[in-house]
Amino acid sequence: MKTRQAVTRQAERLYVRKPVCTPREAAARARRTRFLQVALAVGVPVALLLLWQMAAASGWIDRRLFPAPTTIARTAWDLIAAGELWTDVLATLRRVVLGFAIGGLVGFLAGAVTGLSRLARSALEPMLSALYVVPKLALLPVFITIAGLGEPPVIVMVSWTVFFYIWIYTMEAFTQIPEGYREAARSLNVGRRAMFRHVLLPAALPHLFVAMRVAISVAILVIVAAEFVVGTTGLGYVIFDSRRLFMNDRMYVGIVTVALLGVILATMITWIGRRLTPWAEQGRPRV
Amino acid sequence: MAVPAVDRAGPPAKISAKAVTRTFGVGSEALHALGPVDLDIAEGEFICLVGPSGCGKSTFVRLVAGLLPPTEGQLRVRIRGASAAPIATVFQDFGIFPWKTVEANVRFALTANGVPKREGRERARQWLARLGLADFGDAYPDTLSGGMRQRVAIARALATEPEILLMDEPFASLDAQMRQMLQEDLLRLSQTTRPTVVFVTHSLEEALILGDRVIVMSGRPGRVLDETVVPFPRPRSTLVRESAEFGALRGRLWGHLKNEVEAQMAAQSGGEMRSLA
Repeated sequence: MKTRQAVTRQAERLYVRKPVCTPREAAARARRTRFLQVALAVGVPVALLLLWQMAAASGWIDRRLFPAPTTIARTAWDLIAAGELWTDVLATLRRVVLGFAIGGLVGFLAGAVTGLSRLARSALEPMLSALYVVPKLALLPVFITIAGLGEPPVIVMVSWTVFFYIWIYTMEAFTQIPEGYREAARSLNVGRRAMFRHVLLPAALPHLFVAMRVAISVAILVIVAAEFVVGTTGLGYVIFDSRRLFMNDRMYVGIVTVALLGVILATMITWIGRRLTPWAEQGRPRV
Repeated sequence: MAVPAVDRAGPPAKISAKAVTRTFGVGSEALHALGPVDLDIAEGEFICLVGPSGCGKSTFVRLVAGLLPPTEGQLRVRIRGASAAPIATVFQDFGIFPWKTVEANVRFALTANGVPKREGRERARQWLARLGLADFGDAYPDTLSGGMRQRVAIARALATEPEILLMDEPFASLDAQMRQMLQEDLLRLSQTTRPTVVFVTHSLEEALILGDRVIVMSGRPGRVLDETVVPFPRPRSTLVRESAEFGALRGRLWGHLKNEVEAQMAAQSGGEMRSLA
């Protein structure tokens, strides 16, 4: 009996939890990780550019199709020096800004009305949702027919696109405002105008800036295509005209400039948004 | 200890509910949430409403606040002064606006009701100071703890100097220490200005610490099940919870409430409870 007990008794075990490294080692490791992240973020694009440069210089790829980055940079410099690029940048910028302003304003008004009134939503939402799924570019011929050639159809095209994005996001933003905020405001005897100005608008504002960031990118997408179809100026025209004339270095200059324009406009919207909604955490709208 | 519909030959009630009911929705979707409720609340009285979740406590507060109309019956709220905002409400969430600074939140309640801007700023600062928030006027609410945010809500409600203060589970989402701190704040402030208070809570302890009278409500549709006058004299502190009498009262009230909560649990689990018992 005694021996059996000794055998079946479980062996005592001790679990020791202790640090795996010193605080200094942990700090060093965190620094290394951070350095690696930055190095990768910068290094990978630079490496790809270098690879492209080498490939073009040594003739691995067709230089006429893929001119070396240095060639593109030189062409860009020449175009800027000749003042040619600015004309097209300004033409595109003007169309985007005008179209964005018109489409954004109408979209905001439509979004506010449909977001705040159930009846307006019933009246307008099905129709607008149906129009929303029509491919925007398919309507360009319609706009040309209505608005004639030149600037108007392109601006209408951009407005049309921006309108839908801003409208849908604005409507969502207003319908999602928690009832609690309205209740709190009503318990303070707040009138309709003050309710909009002090409660509904600020509650929706962070979402509206998200909408504008999305809309500006789509506006750029659309403007390039529209300028290809109807333009005689603008970056979209530069890109497609260069391709037609087989000036591929100029084509890449156009592409890079459009990308830069998009980044700059989106960054501006983000910056203004941060200034106007200081209570919202960075990049994360909250209502 | 239950006091049957207290003798009120004297002044007319501040808030008087007569056969008040509230139903949400219509037809087969209709949900009978509250009532019929008959309840008289005297001027300067601190009433605590307790009851199982979904018993219509919050609905009752919204009826008094005028945020909802009753479905049947009548609710009379008697206001003496000329104040534009004689009723103030403190909510559990969403009460204060995250896009306004702490001071702007308090000021908004005043300027929305016609207080001139400068006076509004002055009064906002005074009330923030009284709640220990003097240094946080320029902060945004989301940078404060839950307890501080509810202090802002209380400061905003009291800054309008209301005749009636409605509080809908204002401390429900706070931790125990924070809750006790705010209970002390509320005792101190309500004992100096003496507004009529309707305080909704699911904590019997909180109700007994704060209230002059505790109303226990039944499960949905909520009705008045029991009224208990709290015997502790004012001015009072949260220390009353240490007394033996407090424990006895709490036990007696729990006796009422327990049945309701059990009935509700049974109803929710389709009678499972009853078959087990």
